[in-house]
Amino acid sequence: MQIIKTEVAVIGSGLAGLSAALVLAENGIKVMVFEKRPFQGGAVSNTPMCTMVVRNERKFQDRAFEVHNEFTNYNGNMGLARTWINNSWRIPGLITGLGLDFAGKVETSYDEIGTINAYTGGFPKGMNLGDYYLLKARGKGHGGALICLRAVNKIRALGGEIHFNRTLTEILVDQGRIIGAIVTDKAGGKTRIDCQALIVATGGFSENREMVKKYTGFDYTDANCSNGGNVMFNHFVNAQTTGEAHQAVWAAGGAKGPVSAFGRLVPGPGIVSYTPWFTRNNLYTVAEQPYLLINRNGKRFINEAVAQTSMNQGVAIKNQPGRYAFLLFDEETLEHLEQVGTEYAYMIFPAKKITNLREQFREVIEDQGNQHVFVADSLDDFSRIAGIDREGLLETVIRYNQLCDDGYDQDFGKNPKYLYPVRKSRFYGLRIVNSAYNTLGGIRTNEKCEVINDEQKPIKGLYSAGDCMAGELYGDPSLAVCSLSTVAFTLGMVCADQATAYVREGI
Amino acid sequence: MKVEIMDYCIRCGLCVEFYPTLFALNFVEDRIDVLPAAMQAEESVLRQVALDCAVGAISVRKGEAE
Ligand SMILES: Cc1cc2nc3c(=O)[nH]c(=O)nc-3n(C[C@H](O)[C@H](O)[C@H](O)COP(=O)(O)OP(=O)(O)OC[C@H]3O[C@@H](n4cnc5c(N)ncnc54)[C@H](O)[C@@H]3O)c2cc1C
Ligand code: SF4
Repeated sequence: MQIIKTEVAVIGSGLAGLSAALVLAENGIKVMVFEKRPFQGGAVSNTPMCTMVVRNERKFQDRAFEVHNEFTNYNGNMGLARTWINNSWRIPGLITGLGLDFAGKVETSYDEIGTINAYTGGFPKGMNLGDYYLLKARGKGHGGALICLRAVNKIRALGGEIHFNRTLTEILVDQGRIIGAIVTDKAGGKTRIDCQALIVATGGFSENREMVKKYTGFDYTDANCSNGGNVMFNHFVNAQTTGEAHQAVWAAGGAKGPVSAFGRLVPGPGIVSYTPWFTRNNLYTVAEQPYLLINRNGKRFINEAVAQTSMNQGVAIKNQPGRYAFLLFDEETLEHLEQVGTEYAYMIFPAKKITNLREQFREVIEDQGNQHVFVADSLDDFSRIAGIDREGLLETVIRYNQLCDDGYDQDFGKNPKYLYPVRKSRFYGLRIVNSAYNTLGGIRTNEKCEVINDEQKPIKGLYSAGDCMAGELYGDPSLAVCSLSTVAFTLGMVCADQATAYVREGI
Repeated sequence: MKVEIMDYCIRCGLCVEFYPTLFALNFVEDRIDVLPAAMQAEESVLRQVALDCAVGAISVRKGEAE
């Protein structure tokens, strides 16, 4: 077996791993990055379009911390949350240090922390803690890709090494301290890395169906939802996020933490393209409108206006039979969408007035063969083709139309301006399943990003950052949250601080 | 024109999304394939293609394809 030596080994070249490696290289530590894929950036390297930074002022940090703790019901790792919140101000410097600039900045005032303002739709209130920095991108990409490429170049220029096509498969621990790791190449060849510290920054495990089932309870499905599953992951196809690193950490004595995967998406061909933020038509935007939402028993279960925060709606959908739901509206509402416009316009897929919607439905159903998008002449037909209980559906629609006529939603308290009856043929529907960028969490750490065991004692020299451990911030059981680049950047840098001190001073 | 994909391509698929006749996803080899039509495409189109890439991984040079 080949043996290589370094002071610190970083596993994964996503935002978390590269942030860690960059700071280590700047600190003069001998660092090597080992990445499973043949290129840098991670499963989502081209996706983040903005990152959140809590201002470096006590007042703002205290407020953000308070909001986070209330949001998590004091159930997350509060020490770690404090570390993240108090260090996120370092992100802009990390990015400008790569010679990159921002396309803009949206400030969150003190009073807006923990609220949903115009920009932050999509997230639960409790996740809106700071200012948003819009990453400047190249060409038609998003900024994260350029950050990762520049980071690789700078790490190399500072003497660090990046080894592609190397998968972490084993972590070597002796008497509670890291002594190294084993990485495996595509041909199965193994290399032993002798190192004093190891940083695991390997993202989620969304493409490991067994692990997804075991740790989230969901059945993985691909973009076509062809296996009847009920959770989709909105990242590049073939991301190869198969969880070897999680398993290696657990085998080395690391404790298992909560794993989150909530959001919502319409599955099937013709809606989202291979590149996750490109939609092929307006159906994704339609799915975000606060129209009647029912489960497969035909029952309504939520104030649909919460559609503005997709993770909140996602968690309610998770609680329905089969873990999916249907959005239903009629011809009159379709005309409203075309003539007046949408209720919500999520900034990623803005579409105020939606034109040509009937043709979009037809194209997706007939030309693309999408089995999660429905158009029917009657509610009877709708229940049949969508597989919804007929009696339940009819009962709900009668009740809902009555609430619309009354102008008061006695059942779920939806704002009356979103009460559109479902009466006029034709009827349009979308099946909505849970979704996530990736799984979030699974590895447990303390406030210093040290991986901890079941006794919550650190494994010395073993650190973790990013999507693979961020569930720790939100607690167990996991909350309806999603991965955030701010956590990956910040905790990557914190791992580097800690590993530097450990390597230099043994602390 | 000679069109090449550099090794730091992140397989985001943008080029395939926008120019499906010029590029294809190759999941088996885990790379982006340059299709024969790319070599015949107009220089101005190829220059735009190169500019669209998220990381500047599409190299377009004068010369014959190998
Ligand atoms: C569509 C989409 C849009 C998003 N938009 C935003 C946004 O606007 N703002 C925001 O803040 N966040 C956004 N995010 C989330 C953000 O991109 C992620 O939180 C962040 O990139 C995660 O970085 P990471 O380094 O933790 O993980 P990853 O990027 O997943 O990197 C992990 C790396 O580790 C490698 N790896 C895995 N296992 C091994 C192993 N065993 N050995 C070696 N290497 C391994 C992987 O190949 C990968 O390169 C978005 C995500 C998606 C999918
Ligand atoms: S756009 Fe660039 S980075 Fe993305 S797949 Fe094509 S060549 Fe690779």
